[in-house]
Amino acid sequence: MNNTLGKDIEISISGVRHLIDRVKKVHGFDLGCFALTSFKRRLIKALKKNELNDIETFTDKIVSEKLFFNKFLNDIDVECTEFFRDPAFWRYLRDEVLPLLDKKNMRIKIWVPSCSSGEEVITTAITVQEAGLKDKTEILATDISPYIIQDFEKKVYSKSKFEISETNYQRFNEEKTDFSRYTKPVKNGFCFPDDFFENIKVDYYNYQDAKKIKSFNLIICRNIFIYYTAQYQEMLLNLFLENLSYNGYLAIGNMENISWCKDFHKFVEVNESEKVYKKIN
Amino acid sequence: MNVKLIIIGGSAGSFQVITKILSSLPKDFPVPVVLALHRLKHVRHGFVEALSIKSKMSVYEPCDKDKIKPGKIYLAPANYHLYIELAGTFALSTEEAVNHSRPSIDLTLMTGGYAYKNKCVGIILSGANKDGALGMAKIKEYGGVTVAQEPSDAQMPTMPVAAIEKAKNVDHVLSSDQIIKFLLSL
Repeated sequence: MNNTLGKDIEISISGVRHLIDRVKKVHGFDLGCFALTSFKRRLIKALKKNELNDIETFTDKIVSEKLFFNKFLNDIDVECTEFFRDPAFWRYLRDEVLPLLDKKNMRIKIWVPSCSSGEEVITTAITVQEAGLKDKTEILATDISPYIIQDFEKKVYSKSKFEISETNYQRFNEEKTDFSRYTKPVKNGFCFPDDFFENIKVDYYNYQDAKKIKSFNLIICRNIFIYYTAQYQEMLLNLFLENLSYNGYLAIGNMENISWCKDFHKFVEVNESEKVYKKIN
Repeated sequence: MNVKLIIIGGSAGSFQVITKILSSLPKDFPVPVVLALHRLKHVRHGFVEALSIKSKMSVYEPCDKDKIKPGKIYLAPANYHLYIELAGTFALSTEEAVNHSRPSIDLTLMTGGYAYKNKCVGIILSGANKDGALGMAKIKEYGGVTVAQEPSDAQMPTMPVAAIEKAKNVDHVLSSDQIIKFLLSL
């Protein structure tokens, strides 16, 4: 089947609602947590990938095959498109947040939830390394897709991603060093050497279980809130609060907004333009 | 015509037209205006300020979930797609660039057209690529009104020409002065 951009598949809101209801009943997973417009877009993308063009057939397959459901969770994951997105944020982390955490803690524990294809967590690891804190830091990367967790360390990133990331990295590092010092060229792109992942643990985590993991000093959750409904955003914020240690930091995307949430007063803003908050309560 | 949302898409060569439009709209202009403009992804600050100089209405970069309100100009923030939700709110996305663009003019037009149906106006100004053409066709399909800048009036005619071709029955092809008259008549 050939779907050009001009001949897009249309799916109805009722079709989406029906999918959400059935998945909740069968798999106990609430897809209703996702913001509608972007979720619909990712559904259409997943339909195309599976060479299907109606949501009913798709829904039938998702509820009847567990394996297909797991793949579906993978398909609707949002891929982060660059390393070192917003270099100013990573500079702030390196120069301000990490040194403070270093002073006050024996070990630094960082959680990168919804790590997806890994760009944010790898960027975190490089930033920690450049702050000279690799040995002192544990990074936990989690995602709802079991497939992403499996492939994470072997992942090959595209050449075009390298170009964007290289420019970002130079803005971050400011010393004319290259991003390529961390990467290993492979056919069709690049990857990261095995020892790179020494202080990173990758695990499955579903927000909906709302399990407490441990007290983190820093949670990096940038541009994740945007994919959820307002109601679910509130729930996510509570979850992060519970998993943050006293004086722990939360970083969100620069155009995300959590100030309307009930528990927002438990944070104090430490960087307005990069949206970094500190838990004070 | 009971218009509730105006979306303006622009790229290379559109800045002057946009400032002219913004300087012509009165402070109490009743319809929210969303600007989906191609911009440098790493320059997050300064664009709102530049547009605000001439605008009588206040210009904002909306945060995720912000409610769309009349009397305001909204500018799609750098390095995000800007979606319009059925609830009359904005949603942001960092999904991959479409036709090398993020914000994608197509995506803002398509989602706005879907949410506001026949109460949506889409306008395509100067630009050197074809972003926006598909979005204009969608607005038309959902019953909205489409306007393209007269190609001979545009610094870069590629974008309005593509919109005119793709959306087939573009409702109006207008010069920048005529676009202002059209907006003031709404």
